[in-house]
Amino acid sequence: MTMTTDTSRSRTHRGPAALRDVVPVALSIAPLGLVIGATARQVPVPSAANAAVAAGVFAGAAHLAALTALAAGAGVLTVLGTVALINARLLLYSAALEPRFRHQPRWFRWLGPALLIDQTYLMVTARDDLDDAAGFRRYWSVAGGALLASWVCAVGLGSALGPLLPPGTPLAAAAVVVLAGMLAPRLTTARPVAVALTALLVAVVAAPLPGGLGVLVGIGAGLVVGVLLDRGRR
Amino acid sequence: MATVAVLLAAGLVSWLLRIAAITLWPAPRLPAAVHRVLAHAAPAAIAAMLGAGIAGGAALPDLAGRAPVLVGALVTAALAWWRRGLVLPVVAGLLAAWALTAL
Repeated sequence: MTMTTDTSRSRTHRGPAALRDVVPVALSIAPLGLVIGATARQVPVPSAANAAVAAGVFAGAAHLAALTALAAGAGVLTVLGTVALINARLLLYSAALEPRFRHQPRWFRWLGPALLIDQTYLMVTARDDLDDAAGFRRYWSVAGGALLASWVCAVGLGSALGPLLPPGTPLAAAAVVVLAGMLAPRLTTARPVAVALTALLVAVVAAPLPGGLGVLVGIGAGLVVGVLLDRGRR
Repeated sequence: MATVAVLLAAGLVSWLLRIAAITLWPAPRLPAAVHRVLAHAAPAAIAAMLGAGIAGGAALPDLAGRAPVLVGALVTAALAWWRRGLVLPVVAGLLAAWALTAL
């Protein structure tokens, strides 16, 4: 009886714990949301629609890349292919979290993963008190839901403030510098550096290709270099 | 409208990737070959987008006009690599790009 009460209390504490964990994370991703909102107004995408897209994509780099590609006149396949490749890591995260979702209700196995991003993955893997299915579900729903809400608010605020920025504001540079800021921390060893440099240089050279094809060519070149380096190492 | 539809489709693609190994084909472990290729996907994709953004659709000989964006990206990348944060490097990169544009 005592054990049940303790377990039940522990579960109800997961919600507040999730909210405490989420505050610094939400603050850290808010600037990117603002940039994405402001960028969307240039494409142009209506604010309400962009908020819906922010909730649906819920991945800053992919959302920004899709907007940048659309602004450059890329075709549908290029945009979706780029989004899929940038978000391919979600496949790895979902595989790693599958044991936590295995004993969840069916509705949660379909809807819960929609809250899977780098931050929620890191948050749950950093905790060792989420072994029970209900506790994990509560923590995941509160943390992911709060992050999603703050993200949509940040993107919406960016959409509202974007048109108010003074002329000459280098908004076009914003998307590029954010991508640079997201790429750099990933370059920890020689291999990702080689992959990224190849993809970047090929994409620059291939930039005039129509339909945003240059991006796909750049990605392909980077992947080829990565696979070749993997083979050379074995 | 078409733009919004494409972006919503991007959301659908993202959701499918999220549920793929949990709901569609539960797989705690992906094949090693898939793991290796996927490990390169994010840096390759972000770098290619970065390259396209720096070029801005311009061909190589016309890239001089993109110097502010290039410098902004370099400043941001260097600071982000050093400090591992995003906010400060992005602000510094934007300021560098803005200063060069204003010159």
